[in-house]
Amino acid sequence: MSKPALNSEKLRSKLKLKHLTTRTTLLAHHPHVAKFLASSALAGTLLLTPGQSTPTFAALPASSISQTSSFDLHQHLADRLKEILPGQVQPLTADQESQISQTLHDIYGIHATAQLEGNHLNTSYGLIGAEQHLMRYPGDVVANMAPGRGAWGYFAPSKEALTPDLVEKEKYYAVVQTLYLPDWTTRLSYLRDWYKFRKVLIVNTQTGKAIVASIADSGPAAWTGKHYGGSPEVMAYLGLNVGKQKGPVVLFFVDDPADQIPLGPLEYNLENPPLLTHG
Amino acid sequence: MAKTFLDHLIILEEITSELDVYDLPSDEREEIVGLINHTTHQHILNVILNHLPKEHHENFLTKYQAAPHDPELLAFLKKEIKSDIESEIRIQAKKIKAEILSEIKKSKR
Repeated sequence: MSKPALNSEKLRSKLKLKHLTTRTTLLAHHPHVAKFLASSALAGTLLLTPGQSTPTFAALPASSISQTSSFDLHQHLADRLKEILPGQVQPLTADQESQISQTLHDIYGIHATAQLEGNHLNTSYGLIGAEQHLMRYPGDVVANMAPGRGAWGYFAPSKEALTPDLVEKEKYYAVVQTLYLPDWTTRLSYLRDWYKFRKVLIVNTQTGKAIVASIADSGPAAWTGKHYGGSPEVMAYLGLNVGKQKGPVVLFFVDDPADQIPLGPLEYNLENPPLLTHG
Repeated sequence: MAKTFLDHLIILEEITSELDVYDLPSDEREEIVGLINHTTHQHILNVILNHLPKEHHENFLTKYQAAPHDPELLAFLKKEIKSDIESEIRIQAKKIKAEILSEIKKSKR
């Protein structure tokens, strides 16, 4: 009896993505590991390093290797968004949102949608403004910190309980107007949990720069004219931390049920990463 | 991939056994097993460093670099980490193995 067949191309693609996201997470949490990459021993056991060419990765098809720079990706996205978006920030049509989702997937290999699991913000195209850092645990003190806690309270009950994952969540946090959702009060307990630390993709529509962030606060107030907020790091990456510290963005939910996509800047196509054998 | 002190905690045989169920050319199998090995070990290193106090990171990584198979590395971790790191490694390994097994099953033609 013959053995069942496996779609090895599909499996390899999934494993490549998992490998890349694991490495990105490791280096994001522990950047000092990078200097050990030059070591052949550690590299051989854990990480593929610059110049190392193992049979495993040498076998990758050329088509899986992206030669596109992050600058090209940003420019491509900005150009495409200009074709899709209306002249001013406003709620988008389902067709516009669908086109943007497809574009985000084509360029960044990410599944991001304006509506996820039946949830949709009042607008997916709006103005984002600068926020301060949030208090991560009782007694936390850092520069440029908001006076109160975020809408979901402290990130951790104590300094000792603050994990690197929670540090990342505060570093790359987003603010959305959950309080103005029409069903916020009637479905509070469900929506509160659903939105807590929900991953979103925020794109500066003028530059195409994109960053994955985690929802950690509710706001801003409608009278400000803004629709979203971003942590100092989010705003700095988007290039919106200067002048009036606000600007137009598209904000979509990231469909990442296995929690594989790391928070932070998105600078390559997740499904077609640049030169996996290089660090 | 070189042997490491983690191998007996990670145990990838259940994944390689699953791969053996399918008709897979040996070169493709080798490539896929390599990806799984690297991914799993990276994930576990992240778990270890998340638990190990930062002041010991340099020492641990230096020792790991010098002798990745040395069983004393696990003894070092048990001494410096307050929680049960051996159990945590097993739990996390089980979790990522389950994810990988799921991907294999979903890739069945």
